[in-house]
Amino acid sequence: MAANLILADNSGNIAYQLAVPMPRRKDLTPYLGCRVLDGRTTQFDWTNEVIPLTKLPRSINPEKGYLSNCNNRQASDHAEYDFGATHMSSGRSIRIDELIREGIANGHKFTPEDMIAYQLDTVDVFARNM
Amino acid sequence: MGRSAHMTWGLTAAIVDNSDLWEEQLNKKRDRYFVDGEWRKLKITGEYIKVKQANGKIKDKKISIKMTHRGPLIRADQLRFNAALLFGGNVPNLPVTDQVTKDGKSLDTTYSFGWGGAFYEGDTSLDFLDSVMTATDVPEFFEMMQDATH
Repeated sequence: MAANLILADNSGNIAYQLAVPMPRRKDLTPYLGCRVLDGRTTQFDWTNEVIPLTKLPRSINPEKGYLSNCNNRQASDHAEYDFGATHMSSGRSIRIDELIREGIANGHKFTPEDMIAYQLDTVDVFARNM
Repeated sequence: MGRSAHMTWGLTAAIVDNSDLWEEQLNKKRDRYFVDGEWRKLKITGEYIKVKQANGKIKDKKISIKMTHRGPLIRADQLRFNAALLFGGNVPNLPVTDQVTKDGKSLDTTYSFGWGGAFYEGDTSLDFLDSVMTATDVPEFFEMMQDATH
Protein backbone atom coordinates (compact mmCIF):
# COMPACT_ATOMS: atom_id res chain seq x y z
CA MET A 1 0.00 0.00 0.00
CA ALA A 2 1.15 3.52 -0.81
CA ALA A 3 -1.16 6.36 0.10
CA ASN A 4 -1.51 10.09 0.20
CA LEU A 5 -3.43 10.72 3.40
CA ILE A 6 -5.30 13.99 3.90
CA LEU A 7 -6.98 14.73 7.24
CA ALA A 8 -9.23 17.44 8.69
CA ASP A 9 -10.67 17.65 12.21
CA ASN A 10 -13.50 19.51 13.95
CA SER A 11 -11.08 22.10 15.36
CA GLY A 12 -10.04 23.23 11.86
CA ASN A 13 -6.70 21.40 11.69
CA ILE A 14 -5.71 19.99 8.30
CA ALA A 15 -2.79 17.72 7.39
CA TYR A 16 -1.13 15.69 4.66
CA GLN A 17 1.09 12.63 5.12
CA LEU A 18 2.75 10.34 2.59
CA ALA A 19 2.17 6.83 3.96
CA VAL A 20 4.25 4.17 2.21
CA PRO A 21 6.77 1.46 3.19
CA MET A 22 9.68 3.21 1.47
CA PRO A 23 12.93 1.28 1.21
CA ARG A 24 16.14 2.95 2.28
CA ARG A 25 18.60 2.42 -0.57
CA LYS A 26 22.30 1.91 0.13
CA ASP A 27 23.25 4.05 -2.86
CA LEU A 28 21.72 7.51 -2.53
CA THR A 29 22.05 8.57 -6.18
CA PRO A 30 18.78 10.41 -6.93
CA TYR A 31 16.33 8.43 -9.11
CA LEU A 32 18.54 5.34 -8.92
CA GLY A 33 15.40 3.23 -9.05
CA CYS A 34 14.73 4.41 -12.62
CA ARG A 35 17.55 2.19 -13.84
CA VAL A 36 18.11 -1.52 -14.01
CA LEU A 37 20.50 -2.24 -11.14
CA ASP A 38 23.52 -4.54 -11.21
CA GLY A 39 22.61 -7.65 -9.23
CA ARG A 40 26.19 -8.98 -9.17
CA THR A 41 27.02 -6.68 -6.28
CA THR A 42 25.15 -5.73 -3.10
CA GLN A 43 26.14 -2.09 -3.70
CA PHE A 44 22.66 -1.24 -5.01
CA ASP A 45 20.73 -3.26 -2.43
CA TRP A 46 18.30 -1.89 0.12
CA THR A 47 19.20 -1.63 3.77
CA ASN A 48 17.05 -3.58 6.19
CA GLU A 49 15.24 -0.46 7.33
CA VAL A 50 12.27 1.36 5.89
CA ILE A 51 12.42 5.15 5.88
CA PRO A 52 10.46 6.30 8.97
CA LEU A 53 7.08 7.80 8.11
CA THR A 54 8.08 10.85 10.15
CA LYS A 55 10.79 11.54 7.53
CA LEU A 56 8.46 11.32 4.53
CA PRO A 57 6.69 14.36 3.04
CA ARG A 58 4.00 15.79 5.32
CA SER A 59 2.28 19.10 5.90
CA ILE A 60 0.36 20.15 9.01
CA ASN A 61 -1.73 23.33 8.96
CA PRO A 62 0.17 24.99 6.08
CA GLU A 63 0.14 28.79 6.04
CA LYS A 64 -1.74 28.90 2.71
CA GLY A 65 -4.71 27.36 4.53
CA TYR A 66 -5.54 24.42 2.26
CA LEU A 67 -4.22 21.09 1.02
CA SER A 68 -4.97 19.08 -2.09
CA ASN A 69 -3.72 15.94 -3.79
CA CYS A 70 -4.32 14.49 -7.24
CA ASN A 71 -1.87 11.54 -7.18
CA ASN A 72 0.80 14.10 -8.02
CA ARG A 73 4.45 14.09 -7.01
CA GLN A 74 4.47 14.89 -3.30
CA ALA A 75 7.54 17.07 -2.79
CA SER A 76 10.45 18.64 -4.62
CA ASP A 77 13.72 16.85 -5.31
CA HIS A 78 15.15 18.47 -2.18
CA ALA A 79 13.22 16.20 0.21
CA GLU A 80 15.45 14.67 2.90
CA TYR A 81 14.89 11.15 1.55
CA ASP A 82 14.58 10.27 -2.11
CA PHE A 83 11.23 8.62 -2.72
CA GLY A 84 12.04 8.23 -6.37
CA ALA A 85 10.67 9.34 -9.67
CA THR A 86 7.01 9.01 -10.43
CA HIS A 87 5.26 8.77 -13.75
CA MET A 88 2.31 10.73 -12.38
CA SER A 89 1.76 14.15 -13.89
CA SER A 90 1.18 17.21 -11.72
CA GLY A 91 -1.30 18.74 -14.19
CA ARG A 92 -4.42 17.98 -12.16
CA SER A 93 -2.80 19.21 -8.99
CA ILE A 94 -1.76 22.49 -10.62
CA ARG A 95 -5.32 22.99 -11.89
CA ILE A 96 -6.99 22.32 -8.51
CA ASP A 97 -4.51 24.64 -6.83
CA GLU A 98 -5.39 27.30 -9.39
CA LEU A 99 -9.15 26.92 -8.77
CA ILE A 100 -8.74 27.17 -4.99
CA ARG A 101 -6.46 30.21 -5.29
CA GLU A 102 -8.97 31.91 -7.57
CA GLY A 103 -11.74 31.22 -5.05
CA ILE A 104 -9.69 32.63 -2.17
CA ALA A 105 -8.77 35.74 -4.19
CA ASN A 106 -12.48 36.35 -4.86
CA GLY A 107 -13.46 35.86 -1.22
CA HIS A 108 -15.44 32.74 -2.18
CA LYS A 109 -16.78 30.48 0.56
CA PHE A 110 -16.15 26.91 -0.58
CA THR A 111 -18.93 24.31 -0.56
CA PRO A 112 -19.10 20.54 -1.15
CA GLU A 113 -20.58 21.39 -4.60
CA ASP A 114 -17.32 23.19 -5.44
CA MET A 115 -15.42 19.99 -4.69
CA ILE A 116 -17.69 18.06 -7.10
CA ALA A 117 -17.16 20.71 -9.77
CA TYR A 118 -13.37 20.56 -9.28
CA GLN A 119 -13.48 16.79 -9.55
CA LEU A 120 -15.28 17.06 -12.90
CA ASP A 121 -13.18 19.95 -14.22
CA THR A 122 -11.57 19.05 -17.57
CA VAL A 123 -9.11 21.92 -18.13
CA ASP A 124 -5.66 20.65 -19.05
CA VAL A 125 -3.21 23.32 -17.89
CA PHE A 126 -0.43 22.01 -20.12
CA ALA A 127 -2.59 22.04 -23.27
CA ARG A 128 -3.94 25.50 -22.39
CA ASN A 129 -0.45 26.94 -22.08
CA MET A 130 0.85 25.53 -25.37
CA MET B 1 -12.61 8.38 2.27
CA GLY B 2 -14.14 8.22 5.70
CA ARG B 3 -15.03 10.12 8.84
CA SER B 4 -15.39 9.71 12.58
CA ALA B 5 -17.12 12.02 15.04
CA HIS B 6 -13.88 14.04 15.17
CA MET B 7 -12.07 13.78 11.85
CA THR B 8 -12.52 13.23 8.15
CA TRP B 9 -9.93 11.76 5.80
CA GLY B 10 -9.19 10.89 2.22
CA LEU B 11 -6.65 8.52 0.72
CA THR B 12 -5.37 8.61 -2.85
CA ALA B 13 -2.85 6.29 -4.47
CA ALA B 14 0.66 7.61 -3.92
CA ILE B 15 2.85 6.75 -6.86
CA VAL B 16 6.34 6.58 -5.44
CA ASP B 17 9.31 4.51 -6.50
CA ASN B 18 9.39 1.87 -3.77
CA SER B 19 10.37 -0.95 -6.11
CA ASP B 20 13.58 -1.84 -7.92
CA LEU B 21 14.78 -4.23 -10.56
CA TRP B 22 18.14 -5.99 -10.50
CA GLU B 23 19.73 -7.78 -13.44
CA GLU B 24 20.78 -11.19 -12.10
CA GLN B 25 23.44 -13.56 -13.32
CA LEU B 26 22.32 -17.18 -12.91
CA ASN B 27 24.31 -20.40 -13.19
CA LYS B 28 23.52 -22.94 -15.92
CA LYS B 29 21.24 -24.95 -13.64
CA ARG B 30 19.44 -21.71 -12.77
CA ASP B 31 19.39 -22.49 -9.07
CA ARG B 32 22.08 -20.01 -7.97
CA TYR B 33 22.84 -16.35 -8.59
CA PHE B 34 26.15 -14.53 -8.52
CA VAL B 35 26.63 -11.73 -6.00
CA ASP B 36 29.73 -10.21 -4.35
CA GLY B 37 31.99 -12.91 -5.80
CA GLU B 38 29.95 -15.93 -4.70
CA TRP B 39 27.11 -18.09 -6.00
CA ARG B 40 24.16 -17.85 -3.65
CA LYS B 41 21.31 -20.33 -3.67
CA LEU B 42 17.97 -19.12 -5.00
CA LYS B 43 15.13 -19.65 -2.58
CA ILE B 44 12.52 -21.70 -4.40
CA THR B 45 8.94 -21.76 -3.19
CA GLY B 46 5.68 -22.95 -4.71
CA GLU B 47 2.23 -21.45 -4.91
CA TYR B 48 -0.89 -23.33 -5.97
CA ILE B 49 -3.61 -21.78 -8.08
CA LYS B 50 -6.91 -23.62 -8.33
CA VAL B 51 -7.94 -23.87 -11.99
CA LYS B 52 -11.38 -25.04 -13.12
CA GLN B 53 -11.09 -27.61 -15.92
CA ALA B 54 -13.42 -28.07 -18.91
CA ASN B 55 -15.07 -31.00 -17.13
CA GLY B 56 -15.83 -28.79 -14.12
CA LYS B 57 -13.24 -30.36 -11.85
CA ILE B 58 -10.80 -28.16 -9.93
CA LYS B 59 -7.11 -28.87 -10.41
CA ASP B 60 -4.13 -27.37 -8.61
CA LYS B 61 -1.67 -25.63 -10.90
CA LYS B 62 1.70 -25.24 -9.26
CA ILE B 63 3.65 -22.06 -9.86
CA SER B 64 7.31 -22.20 -8.93
CA ILE B 65 8.74 -18.96 -7.54
CA LYS B 66 12.48 -18.33 -7.43
CA MET B 67 13.75 -15.61 -5.14
CA THR B 68 17.02 -13.79 -4.60
CA HIS B 69 17.45 -11.94 -1.28
CA ARG B 70 15.93 -8.94 -3.10
CA GLY B 71 12.71 -10.51 -4.28
CA PRO B 72 11.23 -12.89 -6.85
CA LEU B 73 12.73 -13.47 -10.30
CA ILE B 74 10.60 -11.93 -13.01
CA ARG B 75 10.77 -12.61 -16.73
CA ALA B 76 11.64 -9.77 -19.09
CA ASP B 77 8.51 -10.33 -21.17
CA GLN B 78 6.33 -9.97 -18.06
CA LEU B 79 7.95 -6.63 -17.39
CA ARG B 80 6.49 -5.06 -20.52
CA PHE B 81 3.17 -4.53 -18.80
CA ASN B 82 4.16 -2.53 -15.74
CA ALA B 83 7.54 -1.20 -16.76
CA ALA B 84 6.37 2.44 -16.96
CA LEU B 85 5.27 2.37 -13.33
CA LEU B 86 8.43 0.65 -12.22
CA PHE B 87 10.77 3.10 -13.89
CA GLY B 88 8.95 6.37 -13.34
CA GLY B 89 7.84 6.61 -16.95
CA ASN B 90 11.31 6.36 -18.50
CA VAL B 91 11.60 2.71 -19.43
CA PRO B 92 15.19 1.67 -20.10
CA ASN B 93 16.02 -0.76 -22.87
CA LEU B 94 14.93 -4.19 -21.63
CA PRO B 95 16.10 -6.67 -24.24
CA VAL B 96 13.32 -9.17 -24.80
CA THR B 97 14.02 -11.82 -27.40
CA ASP B 98 11.30 -14.35 -26.53
CA GLN B 99 13.86 -16.96 -27.60
CA VAL B 100 13.91 -20.20 -25.69
CA THR B 101 16.31 -23.13 -25.59
CA LYS B 102 15.27 -26.60 -26.81
CA ASP B 103 14.12 -27.48 -23.31
CA GLY B 104 12.00 -24.35 -23.06
CA LYS B 105 14.27 -22.11 -20.98
CA SER B 106 14.10 -18.40 -21.77
CA LEU B 107 17.24 -16.79 -23.16
CA ASP B 108 16.14 -13.38 -21.94
CA THR B 109 17.88 -11.53 -19.15
CA THR B 110 16.69 -12.51 -15.68
CA TYR B 111 15.69 -9.82 -13.23
CA SER B 112 14.78 -9.89 -9.58
CA PHE B 113 12.10 -7.56 -8.35
CA GLY B 114 12.00 -5.86 -4.97
CA TRP B 115 8.91 -4.07 -3.65
CA GLY B 116 8.79 -2.06 -0.43
CA GLY B 117 5.36 -3.42 0.42
CA ALA B 118 6.66 -7.00 0.61
CA PHE B 119 10.35 -6.66 1.43
CA TYR B 120 10.24 -6.02 5.16
CA GLU B 121 9.00 -9.04 7.04
CA GLY B 122 6.61 -8.09 9.80
CA ASP B 123 6.50 -4.48 8.63
CA THR B 124 3.86 -2.62 10.62
CA SER B 125 4.68 0.87 9.40
CA LEU B 126 1.16 1.40 8.06
CA ASP B 127 -0.77 0.00 11.03
CA PHE B 128 -1.08 3.55 12.36
CA LEU B 129 -3.74 4.14 9.69
CA ASP B 130 -6.19 2.59 12.16
CA SER B 131 -5.62 5.73 14.21
CA VAL B 132 -7.63 7.84 11.78
CA MET B 133 -10.70 6.19 13.31
CA THR B 134 -9.73 6.65 16.96
CA ALA B 135 -7.80 9.96 17.10
CA THR B 136 -9.85 12.87 18.38
CA ASP B 137 -7.94 15.47 16.38
CA VAL B 138 -5.07 15.89 13.91
CA PRO B 139 -2.31 16.54 16.52
CA GLU B 140 -3.32 13.38 18.40
CA PHE B 141 -3.22 11.41 15.16
CA PHE B 142 0.39 12.45 14.56
CA GLU B 143 1.33 11.57 18.15
CA MET B 144 -0.10 8.09 17.55
CA MET B 145 1.87 7.83 14.31
CA GLN B 146 5.09 8.90 16.03
CA ASP B 147 4.58 6.15 18.64
CA ALA B 148 3.79 3.57 15.97
CA THR B 149 6.94 4.17 13.95
CA HIS B 150 9.56 4.34 16.71
